[in-house]
Amino acid sequence: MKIAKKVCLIGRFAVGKTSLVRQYIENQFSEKYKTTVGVSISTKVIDIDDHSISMILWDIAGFEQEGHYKHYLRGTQGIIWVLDGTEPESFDIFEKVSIPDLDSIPAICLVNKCDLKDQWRLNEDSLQKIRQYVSTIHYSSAKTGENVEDSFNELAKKLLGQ
Amino acid sequence: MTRERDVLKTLLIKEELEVLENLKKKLLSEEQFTEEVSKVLANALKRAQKKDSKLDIVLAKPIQDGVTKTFSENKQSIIDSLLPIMGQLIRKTVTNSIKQFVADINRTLELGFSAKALKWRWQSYKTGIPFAEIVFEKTIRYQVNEIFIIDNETGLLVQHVGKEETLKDKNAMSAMLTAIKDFVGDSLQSTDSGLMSADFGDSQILIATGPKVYLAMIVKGSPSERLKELNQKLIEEIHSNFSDSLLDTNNFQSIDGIEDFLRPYLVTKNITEEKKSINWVPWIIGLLLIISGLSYLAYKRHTEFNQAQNIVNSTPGLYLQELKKSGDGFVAKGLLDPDADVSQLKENNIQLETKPFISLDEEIIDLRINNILKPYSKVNYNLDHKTLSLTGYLPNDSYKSIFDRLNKVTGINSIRNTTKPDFSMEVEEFLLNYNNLEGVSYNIEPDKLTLNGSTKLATHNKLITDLKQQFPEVTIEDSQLDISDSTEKIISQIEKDSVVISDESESHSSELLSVIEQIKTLINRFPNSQITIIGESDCQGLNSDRFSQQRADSIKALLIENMIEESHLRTSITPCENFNNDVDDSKKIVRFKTYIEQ
Ligand SMILES: Nc1nc2c(ncn2[C@@H]2O[C@H](COP(=O)(O)OP(=O)(O)O)[C@@H](O)[C@H]2O)c(=O)[nH]1
Ligand SMILES: [Mg+2]
Repeated sequence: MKIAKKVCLIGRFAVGKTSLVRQYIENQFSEKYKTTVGVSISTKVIDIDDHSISMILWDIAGFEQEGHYKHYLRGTQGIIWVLDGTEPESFDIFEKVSIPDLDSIPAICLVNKCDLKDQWRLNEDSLQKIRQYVSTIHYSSAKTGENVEDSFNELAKKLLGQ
Repeated sequence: MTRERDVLKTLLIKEELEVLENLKKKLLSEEQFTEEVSKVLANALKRAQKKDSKLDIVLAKPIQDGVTKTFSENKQSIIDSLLPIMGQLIRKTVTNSIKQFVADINRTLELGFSAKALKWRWQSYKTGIPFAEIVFEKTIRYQVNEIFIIDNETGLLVQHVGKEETLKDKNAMSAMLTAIKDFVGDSLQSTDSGLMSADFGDSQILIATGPKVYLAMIVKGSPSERLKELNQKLIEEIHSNFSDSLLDTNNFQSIDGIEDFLRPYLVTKNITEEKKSINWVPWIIGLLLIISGLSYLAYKRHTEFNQAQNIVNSTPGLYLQELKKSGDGFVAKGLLDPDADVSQLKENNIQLETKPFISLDEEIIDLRINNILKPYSKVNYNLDHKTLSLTGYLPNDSYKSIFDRLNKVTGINSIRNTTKPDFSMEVEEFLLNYNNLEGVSYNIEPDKLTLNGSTKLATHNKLITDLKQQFPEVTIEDSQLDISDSTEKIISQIEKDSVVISDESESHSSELLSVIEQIKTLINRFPNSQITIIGESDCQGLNSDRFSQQRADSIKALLIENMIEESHLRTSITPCENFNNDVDDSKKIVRFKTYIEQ
């Protein structure tokens, strides 16, 4: 079976959303529109068992402005929350972005830039808070590629209901 | 006017003939042709200007620029860019003769185009599409290369068909188109009911939006207006033919039949071969006038159209997909909720060609509720965030059926009900058919019945019993109902001061007879009642107490004579304490005292 699913990356400015997608996918679609429209779309086809799933990744910029991103989140079928482990302000994204039916949408959370060990600011308290919103949390680095591919693939499995 | 028209015509044709002869040779490409036309236009207008000095001020430059700029583009852009100035031009110069002109031109065109033109004319006559539009249609070149059907919400691709599989990532393309479309958003859609277009490299993307999915068509060249209309029809058909499959995103890209349905729309439209044999003279005049004519009509239609569109858009429950002129009115196509109020549309000569759908507009939900509750004046309702609150009363006999109907209304999530059943109709009917209401009047409220007037105890008791049995939920208020023969009343009548004047005569006062009747009623009502007959005297003389006893005895005998059983009767006297010498007949009396045992 061949299916496509819409997946949105959600995270504050400069947490590394674009870098993560770039790390995961070599062929980027139409960077040209991104500056005007504020979205960059990439796709990745993953084969899991007999299924072939097309993840349509929506890398949205500008979560600082509700009127801007709201349209783009419509109908999303998967979510990748991206936080920057060195930037505590980025942990608040869950409270800032409201998504209807959040609980029924498969999601993972990447705490990015885990290569920057000495600047790491994520503590148990913050982790506890994040767990209220999303149960799957991984530390990733778009720079070294650590945990990037595995995490995206894990979400793909969730999207197939596995 | 005819003269003016003739002069203008002569001017246009005669003066330009030589110029055009040269032109014909020079015309090698469309660009050159366009160049030349702009010069002709300038000339023609200059001449017209001699008659009306304002004309050149209004026209000269904008016409030159406008026509040159938009000529190679589609008809709509020509109209759009000329519209503001053309409206004025036409009103001032050619308004009255425009129709005649068009007729002349059509004739000229026919001659010029020979067989082919006749065929088009026939087509125009048969289809009702203006001849000028057919000319445009037949001479415009475009190629439909790809068609995307895309889910409005997720941006996921539902189906793609393409001439060649040129596009690498259709999924990304669909998502990107959706993002761009959302970004451009309301500004474009509001002007053109979901139709829009954008440039895409050397192609154009035409977009037609439906309620669930939209269509994006990638077209190379200059698509005609008709193609855009066709797209709107296409998206409607996709909704009606594949509606079930569109609901689940897992079906996307594998819906049966949708590809075959779309493929025929990948077409190439070429300019007809007649190009070479075209006689340019009528063409130039024709184009000029077609532009004028279309502009004028478009200008007129534009205002009417806007008005009609406003009316349609302000009709709750009507989802407009297309609005078209038809005769001297309009035809609105789209989706219509069966509960929508379309009286305003009919008044404004807007016909409907709609498919039914269920709208979730607040106003429509309200209308649905109102339709159900309209007959019931004692209920109030309020709809807030899809929660319906009901207060007041609803008729008892249709209480359940009303809620059954309300529960089926689409768009209500929950019902908060504090209404009470209203029994007034049933109570009223019951009382109207009740056979013994002697002296009773009443006032009916939804769950309360107030009784007034005056009636007999028996009537009262029966009525109350019957009402309570029939309407246990209704409060019955009878404190204002006077019971003319209540026990208290009877007793007080019997025990009234100095009931009987005892004069030992044989005839008895009517007062006494009435007391006898009362005693009978009382005994009847309370079979264990006891009546004490108390004799009294004026205490004149020593035998007074004996006389008192005699009075009591004689009345007792009278009562027995009147069919009152002795066992109920006792006698006694009020003994004298002092004796006097004054005779006072008014003190020779008998009193009654009652004892009732219930
Ligand atoms: N060290 C480090 N830098 C990163 C990582 N991911 C992103 N960056 C840097 O963070 C900055 C913002 O990244 P970008 O992908 O544009 O963030 P976006 O705004 O979320 O899309 C860039 O300078 C990246 O090079 C990471 O995992 N490690
Ligand atoms: Mg970015």
